[in-house]
Amino acid sequence: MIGSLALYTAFAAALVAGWRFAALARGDKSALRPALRAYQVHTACLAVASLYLLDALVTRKFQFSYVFAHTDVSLPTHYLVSAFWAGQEGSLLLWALLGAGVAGLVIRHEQKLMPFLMPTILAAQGFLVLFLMVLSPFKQLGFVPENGQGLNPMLLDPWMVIHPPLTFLAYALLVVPFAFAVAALWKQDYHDGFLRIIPWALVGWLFMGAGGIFVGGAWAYRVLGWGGYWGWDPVENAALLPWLTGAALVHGLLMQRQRRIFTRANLFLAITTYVLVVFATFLTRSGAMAEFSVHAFVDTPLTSLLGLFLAVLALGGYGMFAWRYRALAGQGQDEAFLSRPGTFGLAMLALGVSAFLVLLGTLLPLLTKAIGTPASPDQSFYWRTNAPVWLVLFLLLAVCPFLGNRPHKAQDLWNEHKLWGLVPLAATIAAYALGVRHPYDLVLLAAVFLALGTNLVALARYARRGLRYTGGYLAHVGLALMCVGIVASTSYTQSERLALVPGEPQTALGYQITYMGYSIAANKNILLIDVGSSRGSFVAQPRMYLAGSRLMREPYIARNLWRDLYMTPLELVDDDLGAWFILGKGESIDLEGYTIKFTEFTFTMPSGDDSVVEVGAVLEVTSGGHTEVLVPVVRQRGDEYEVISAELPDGQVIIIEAINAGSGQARFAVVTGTLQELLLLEVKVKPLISVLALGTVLLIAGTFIATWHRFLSRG
Amino acid sequence: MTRARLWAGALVILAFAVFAVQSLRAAMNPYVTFAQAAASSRTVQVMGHLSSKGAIFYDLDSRNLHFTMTDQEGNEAQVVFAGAKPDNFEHADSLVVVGRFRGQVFWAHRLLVKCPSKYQDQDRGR
Repeated sequence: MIGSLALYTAFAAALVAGWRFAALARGDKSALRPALRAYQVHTACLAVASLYLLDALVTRKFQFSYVFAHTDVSLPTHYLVSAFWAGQEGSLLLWALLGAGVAGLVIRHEQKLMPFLMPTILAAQGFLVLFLMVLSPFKQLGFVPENGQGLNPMLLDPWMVIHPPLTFLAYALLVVPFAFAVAALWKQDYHDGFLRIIPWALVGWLFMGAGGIFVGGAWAYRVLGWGGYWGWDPVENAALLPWLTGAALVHGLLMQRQRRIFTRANLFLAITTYVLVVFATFLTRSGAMAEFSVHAFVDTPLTSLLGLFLAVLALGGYGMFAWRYRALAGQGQDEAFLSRPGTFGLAMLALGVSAFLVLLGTLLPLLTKAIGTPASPDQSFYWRTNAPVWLVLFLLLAVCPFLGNRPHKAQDLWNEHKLWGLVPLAATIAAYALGVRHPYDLVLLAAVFLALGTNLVALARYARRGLRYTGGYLAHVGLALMCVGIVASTSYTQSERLALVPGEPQTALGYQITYMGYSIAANKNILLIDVGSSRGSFVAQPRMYLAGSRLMREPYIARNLWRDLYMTPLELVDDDLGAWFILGKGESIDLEGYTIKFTEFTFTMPSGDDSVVEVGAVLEVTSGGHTEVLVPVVRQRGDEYEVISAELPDGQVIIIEAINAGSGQARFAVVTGTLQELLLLEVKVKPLISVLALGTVLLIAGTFIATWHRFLSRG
Repeated sequence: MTRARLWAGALVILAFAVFAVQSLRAAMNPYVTFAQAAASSRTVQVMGHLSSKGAIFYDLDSRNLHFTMTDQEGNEAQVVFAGAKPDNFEHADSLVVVGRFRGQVFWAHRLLVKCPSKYQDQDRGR
């Protein structure tokens, strides 16, 4: 009751505040007080609603359907807090709450522009609260269950605790650049006021990358056990898109500040970045992609409302852009390619192309469905098409530190810096020696190492002037390292699957791997695996456990500077170690001294009706010149199956494991009768994950420094 | 000069567009049924669910996962997947296999699992 009331009030207050701020923007000075008051009410109501939900979670009020669905009595307190954003309703509430906080920062830091910014921000807030009114986190079950259903076990990880809040903070922050673009188009003030956007765009982009992409990738790598961090899934792509356009935006803005160019592109990118944020939300919460993604989406009642929000943003933003398009002409100028502005422009173009390709691939199932058979692209599409784009980006990155604002001649550049040519040469040779063979990888790595070198030198030069000037170069060094890590871990991962009998060592990928058995702690099977190599040995402990009906597999990662050893348990089975084979009618197989020929199926109904059906397979078994006929049988009674074996001359038995009536095939197994414990284990060696991690940290640190610098260096 | 640059730019864009379309063609995997998949020589995706008839097992020699899947038209096929069984495989609402037929058996190089709706967004299996 309190919660819902708070939401309704928050919605009304957002509308009132937006309306009053708009009046203030038109010159009605008396609107300021009511506008601020209404904003405060809006924020207070969202805070009350959030506290109310938090209280319900922490005190385990299972009568709330949200609490029931995402917690249980055994959940520790810190995960009770993270259950806040385990579902759609709670994460939308968190987004709205963070949005209100960001709006407060805008009021505090942008007093002059505030009346023009706030109507847009509050309209977005209004939509978020509207979603919450439709999909309320305060829905009651009508009774009080003893226990809840528990938190999704995949979310029981520290990285997953911080991933959603950081992502929603990015979403909440990225509305500000959109509002700046709208305000600029509204007031036709494209430079002095508009350029105050820079730290906002930077900080939003920072959290989009750090929280939305990198933390998510780290979580996938640590928890999911498939051995990767990025799968080009629609949900992942949806986070990548605003990051790519945001990257183009922050670069364009820095150039606009220096040279008053790229104004039109920056307005377009600021609008597009937030439209893509909402598009991501639409894609992942509306059920539009439900048929085409591994993520299980539920078709929520939000589909049409989210569509409306997206349409309002896109039509409003792009509409204003188109309306002012002519007035914007002549704000920029033609730039020579070999100059700082030239490389910035090309880099922005390349980032835009990359974003377009990712968007195209993501939407392809919907596009192809509209014209015929739906189809979706393989991961190879994203890698292949982005590869040349990123090669261009690293080449630009490599030459950029040499360039000034004036155009350069390629000849002069070469004469001045030709010693640098040794870097890509050395990198290529080193990479080749380390086993990189694919020509494209060699070319890319050459460009990446050149970029790494030139940016490191520039970094050292700027570091002398002060830490706050190093952001850009530090970020670029990080990006180059990331690229090295991505190329190495994507194309040069080795993988083997092992079937391990306890106590019997096997060699795989240079390690001696012995399954020692398992112990049980906290309801988890802890598998003990002795891993030996030339550098000593250790015991790896991947885990397997049941969470509800789900079998969870927790990988074990042995981290190392050069390579990670990544072990995922696949299955623990009691196996008879027998042979199995599939035969069609008339086919035969030679096995352990027998020739076994499958001639036909027999069908009998011993009880006279079809309540019991026996399917037999007539097998002619020949050994030592002697043939006998064996008939293993599967007896079906309702849903129950019973396997009746047939005995081979040496005492082993043969059974039918499965029948495919359509193709006339059956799968048989020869069973020795003794069971043996077996662990199926996937072992991967993934090179340079540590370099990828280091690069990510440097990219985030560099972006953080740049953001901080831009906040400091304005009035 | 400017004219020449314009032409060069257009040429680059055109070349890249051709390349992108080519890549897209090569990477497109249509969603089809087993019957259509058997008739096709390209990589396809089949959506369906786990059949209750066949056993789910790892072949211990090749360590490949074997199972029987029913597509959306009710036809069944043996599927072999070279990789780890995704979390919640047995309880998945539906499966998507990406690959192609070799003889009577569908060889999948990707296996995607859609989980029951209790676990919503951040869920996935590979």
